[in-house]
Amino acid sequence: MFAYTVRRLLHSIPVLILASLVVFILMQYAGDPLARLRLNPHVTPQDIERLEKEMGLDKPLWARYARWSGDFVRGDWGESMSHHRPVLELIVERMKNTLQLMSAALLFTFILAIPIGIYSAVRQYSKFDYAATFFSFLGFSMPIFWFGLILQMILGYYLTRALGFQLFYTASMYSVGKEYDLINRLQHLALPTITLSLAYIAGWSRYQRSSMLEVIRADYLRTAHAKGLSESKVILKHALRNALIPVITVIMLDMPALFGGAVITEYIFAWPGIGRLLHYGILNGDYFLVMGIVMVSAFLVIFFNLLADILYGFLDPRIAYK
Amino acid sequence: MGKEYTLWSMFWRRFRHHRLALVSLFILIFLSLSVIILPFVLPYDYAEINLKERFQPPSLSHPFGTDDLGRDQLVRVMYGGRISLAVGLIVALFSTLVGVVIGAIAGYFGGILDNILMRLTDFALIIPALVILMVAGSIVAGGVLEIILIISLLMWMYVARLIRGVFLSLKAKEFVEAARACGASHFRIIVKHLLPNAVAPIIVNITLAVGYAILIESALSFLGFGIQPPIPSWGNMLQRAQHTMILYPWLTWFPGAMIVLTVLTVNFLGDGLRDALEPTKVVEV
Amino acid sequence: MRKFKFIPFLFLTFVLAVAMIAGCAPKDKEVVKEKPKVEGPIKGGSLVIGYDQEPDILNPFIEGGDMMATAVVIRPVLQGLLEIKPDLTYGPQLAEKVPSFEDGTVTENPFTVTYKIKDEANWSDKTPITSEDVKFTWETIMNEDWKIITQTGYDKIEKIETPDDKTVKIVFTEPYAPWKDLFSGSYFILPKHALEGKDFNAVMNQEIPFSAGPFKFKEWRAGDSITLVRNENYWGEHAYLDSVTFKYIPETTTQLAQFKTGEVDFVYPPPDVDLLEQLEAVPNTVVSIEAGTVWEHIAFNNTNEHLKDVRVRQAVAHGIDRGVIAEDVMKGQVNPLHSFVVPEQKAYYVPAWEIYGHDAEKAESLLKEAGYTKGADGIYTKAGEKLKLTFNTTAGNVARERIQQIVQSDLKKIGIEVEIKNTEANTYFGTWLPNGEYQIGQWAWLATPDPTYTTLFAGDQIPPDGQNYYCYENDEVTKIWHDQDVTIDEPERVKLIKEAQNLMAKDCPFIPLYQRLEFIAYTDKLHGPVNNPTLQGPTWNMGEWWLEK
Repeated sequence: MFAYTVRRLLHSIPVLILASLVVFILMQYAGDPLARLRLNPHVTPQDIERLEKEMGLDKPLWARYARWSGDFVRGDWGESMSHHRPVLELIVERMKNTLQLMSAALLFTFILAIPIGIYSAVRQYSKFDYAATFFSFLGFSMPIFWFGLILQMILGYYLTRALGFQLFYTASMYSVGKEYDLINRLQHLALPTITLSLAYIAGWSRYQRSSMLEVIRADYLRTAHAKGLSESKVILKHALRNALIPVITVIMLDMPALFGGAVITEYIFAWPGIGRLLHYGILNGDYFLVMGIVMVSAFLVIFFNLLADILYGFLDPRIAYK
Repeated sequence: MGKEYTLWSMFWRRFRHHRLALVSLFILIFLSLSVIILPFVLPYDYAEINLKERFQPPSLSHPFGTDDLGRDQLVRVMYGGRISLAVGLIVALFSTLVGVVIGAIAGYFGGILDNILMRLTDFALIIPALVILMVAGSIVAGGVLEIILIISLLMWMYVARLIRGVFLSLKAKEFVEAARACGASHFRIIVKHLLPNAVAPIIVNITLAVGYAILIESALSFLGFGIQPPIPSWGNMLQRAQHTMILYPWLTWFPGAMIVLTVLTVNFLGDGLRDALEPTKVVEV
Repeated sequence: MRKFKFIPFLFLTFVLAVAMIAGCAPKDKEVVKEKPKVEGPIKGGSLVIGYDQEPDILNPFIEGGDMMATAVVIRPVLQGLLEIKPDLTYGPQLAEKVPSFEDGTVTENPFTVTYKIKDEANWSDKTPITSEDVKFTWETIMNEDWKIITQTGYDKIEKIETPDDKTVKIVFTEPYAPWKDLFSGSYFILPKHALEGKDFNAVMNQEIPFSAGPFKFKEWRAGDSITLVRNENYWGEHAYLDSVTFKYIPETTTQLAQFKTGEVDFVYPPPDVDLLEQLEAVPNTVVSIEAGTVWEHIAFNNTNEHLKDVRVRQAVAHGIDRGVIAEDVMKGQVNPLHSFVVPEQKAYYVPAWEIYGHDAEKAESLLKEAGYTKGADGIYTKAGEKLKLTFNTTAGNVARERIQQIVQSDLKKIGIEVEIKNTEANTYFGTWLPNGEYQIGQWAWLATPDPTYTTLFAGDQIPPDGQNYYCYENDEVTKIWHDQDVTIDEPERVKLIKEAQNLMAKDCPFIPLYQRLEFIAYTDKLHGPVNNPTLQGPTWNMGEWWLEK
């Protein structure tokens, strides 16, 4: 197992290098960190030239990449060109906020999707199965920004008016002066959590359903039935354990996307997370910042992929790692 | 001929069972037909500006109302449907094609070729989607073709992995050995013997990819990299109308409902196809 | 319950979903309420301002600090020698008065300006603000180690003399007409005692540890908000509000929702005319609209094979119905702009572009005169080349895209084919414009109270030498722009700038469209905000704001 892990990690090194190189090159074409200054009538070409020199933008591409990658390997992620702060510091700061939202969304999705999947499988082609299928797909089919804005309008605005007090806040992480109030935080978390979970509930519950269906048909369950165990016991004790294995794997594979792919939700709900930071970095040609986030997200993909494989092997002893 | 007929009828019998999929199929056919036909029939042009009739709510002459430049919203939704459906379909076909080719080569030949192609796939998976969308989007300004290419960049990897897996498990089977012994070329073995066994997942994948691509196009519009005006797509219509959602709600209703309807039905269709094509995975009750 | 009809159920759900999506809930009705006269102003209270863009850094001198977002936050904290009033005039801020020829505080030969700093002016640590601080500010700007945004104007200063603590004499190497912008427009006076020997590239990026204004910096929660609190040691009249928090909400629709639920008390949204009606519909709200000093225009690449002919440019100008854009698209909130000088810059303004009324016939005859013939498809051609132009601007900007589409449709009527191709702002301003990769463009310039435009319109300022993205060359115009920069005599300068407007209107290197709207909306419990259409932002007089209990 250890050898397998090491080999997998070694394999990912060339992939990481290629990814960093390609993103680095693309970023040079994507934008100019000094673009805004070019629109300032007081800024002269001499000013721009002076600033380019100070920021190292006058050096050729390969030299800048060599410099960046050298520093990166030594643990220096560089300084964000727009925020004038160390990239690592920025990422850690935003990652904390993203983690909060992610954990909430993960929990919410899990609590909803898994029971829906189980029940749909046990009562296949029942009303519940159809309704669950329909609604989970309906959620999946909504453009996320539209759904988020509608939630804001209905649960944020109209509900507040109807109740006379604010149950759900429309955006940001906390109210001014209530930065450390747990209830207040949850009220702010609710809408982005629902929005973010939407796309995953459908996928996970469907996966749980089909995985459960396969297990239910397996022989050992028939045996369990034959032994006279009650249905709920069979389902919960035997079927669920085995059916969860592939689902957990899928969840693991979704994790990196959950970390990096929440930009629209973060944007709409003014959540200061990593997705918005990346979005801002790309828009402003801040390539040190973008490189930092890309590397973090690449590590996450590799890590969770590996974890999924190992977990799979761990839970299913039939698979051996060579 | 007879054998094919029974296969087909078996498929149809199973597919019919999935009522949601069946209804979805009819809705999709209806939608595609109206999207193709209506722009010819309607008395308006999608780009015809009429500033005196801006923001008209739905009425008899404009059943879907008019937009911020006084253009008929019905004809724009229909024309936008052509664009959105075309984007969805072409992306699905194109990305599946790329994925199948790469997955098939990797799975069939194995060895160093497999290693290189799979690292390439890993590489594409490792870069955050947002980076690909935004960077590519800012380098090539959004024509329909460019948008199709960009979205395809995000989607081929999953098919590639899937097909590689199928091929890996199949190529050791006896019938492949037999074909090889008979002197069949690699190409022939791949196309004639291996690919037919992967048809089910490929078709299901194409179906689901259509819906996914339509959603990505709308997200791309939200991020400001969508299809350029005056050409409408459901995504860019919805995005341009969202800031006036309360004042002129009908401008979001129709493109939004179209996206939901299409993605929803396409997913049900995919679900039904999966049940019908991969009978081993379904329990008939 | 037994028989569950699935299809009708589906249909019903769908209808419900659509209804929900539509937000069928009733529209807000304005609550008409007689507001009793309130006693005031009173001290206390805190305010939350919703704003779409978070500053990158707080230091307005160095690269990254040139955003409006930075200006809005630091305006109540730092002060300049002069300040720009809403009517585009200069008033004294730290200085006792605006220097002038009459009282000898401005001399022509050599060109010097003498300021007297207010006696009572002091920093928040009670250290007096002195002439040494002004000198230090200049030295900081000219220091090559710092990533200073621009040294324009400051590099014309030979030396700064400090005869006493409160007197500053600025000696220039040559006459510099826009001298009032120095130490007051976008730069402020810095405290020598707090900054000397520190790394200016880092010291005031995340916080401003001193204040010369009614508020001081309290904290910045990255990605979320910045809070200012009252400066209890302010030398002037103390602020009424205890604290003001800027909440950063990037999505405009969200900002609106936050304002409606009362999560924020004040919004300063992007200039989107459609928001106006929605803001006005919110009960108990004050909305204030002004034509700003940011002006939109349609630009020509004057080196394009079609557009290098002045008649083609004029034809386009006649072909576009600018009146309709102002009346219908901007809902009558703006007037068509007829110059690059805005009407508020009263003395300098000439409505030079008025000569381009909407006249399709004239446009077509101009094209014919230029040697074009109309093809079978209704599009003009010359020497086999179709008159087809691409129109680029920043993607995702609803207002600009609307205008693009109207222009496209207007020009089609006079036989010019226009294709729209946009990209995001960074690529547009960073790559496309400097490299001349555009044919027709649309963006905005900001007018400072001083009307100098040399770097944009002079023929020797074509990229990479300047920001003349039009690649517009007219020697006479170039000379005027350079002359007016060193003309201290006001009436003489006015004459030159008026002449430049008339000459340029004839050449038509671009078409001015309109002044962007500046609008703010706030709860009617708040008193004191005055919309400032100059780029000073709405927080310029925040010390005078107060909240009802």
